[in-house]
Amino acid sequence: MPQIKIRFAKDGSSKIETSGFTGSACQGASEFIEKALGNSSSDEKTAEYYEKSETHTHLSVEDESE
Amino acid sequence: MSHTATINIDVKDPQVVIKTAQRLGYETTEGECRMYDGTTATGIQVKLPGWRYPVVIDTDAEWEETLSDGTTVMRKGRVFSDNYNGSWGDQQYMDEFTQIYGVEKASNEASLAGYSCSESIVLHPETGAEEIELTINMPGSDLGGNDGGLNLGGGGLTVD
Repeated sequence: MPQIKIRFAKDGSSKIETSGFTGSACQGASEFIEKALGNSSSDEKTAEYYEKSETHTHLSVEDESE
Repeated sequence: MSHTATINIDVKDPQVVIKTAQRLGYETTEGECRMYDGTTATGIQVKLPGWRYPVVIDTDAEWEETLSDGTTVMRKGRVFSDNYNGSWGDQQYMDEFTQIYGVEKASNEASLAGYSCSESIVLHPETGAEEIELTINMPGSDLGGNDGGLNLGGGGLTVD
């Protein structure tokens, strides 16, 4: 199941991690929490972020010289 | 995992500030407070354990912060405090307040959005320090896409 995990440290710092999302859905899903809490100071995209979603369209440009 | 981000928490929700103080057992009042340096601050006053002066949280204050990379961001909510570098109050109580505020704020937002969440104590993988982990379950939220992404391969150009 898609999840957002947020770790709150005793020094007041916090880190958010998303899991179970495919492609860029994770960023939209966690945006409401990030904005509600404050400002995101860094952002790392993991391998899962770059995976293709099952719902997308392909546009192919062929080489006409062949 | 899909992405990670570090959040700088803005203490800007007055209802959550009150809820946080209640959870930690701290007294709150509202109004203007004269600080040691003669300035005044208006907002929610929270009496932290052992602190000589209350901290004042102005949840309406908007201010600009310059980050280490030179960029600026707008922030909301400002905490005014006098602890004289720890001599008049232990900073850990303010840090803990920020921590619990974050937990309460995120729980509140998740609940408002219709998601369930749970709270647990976990250990930091490197330092072993205790942290609070909030897990928000989001069933049916994994419909993503790589809009605008370019995949090059096989001699053709593919736009997803």
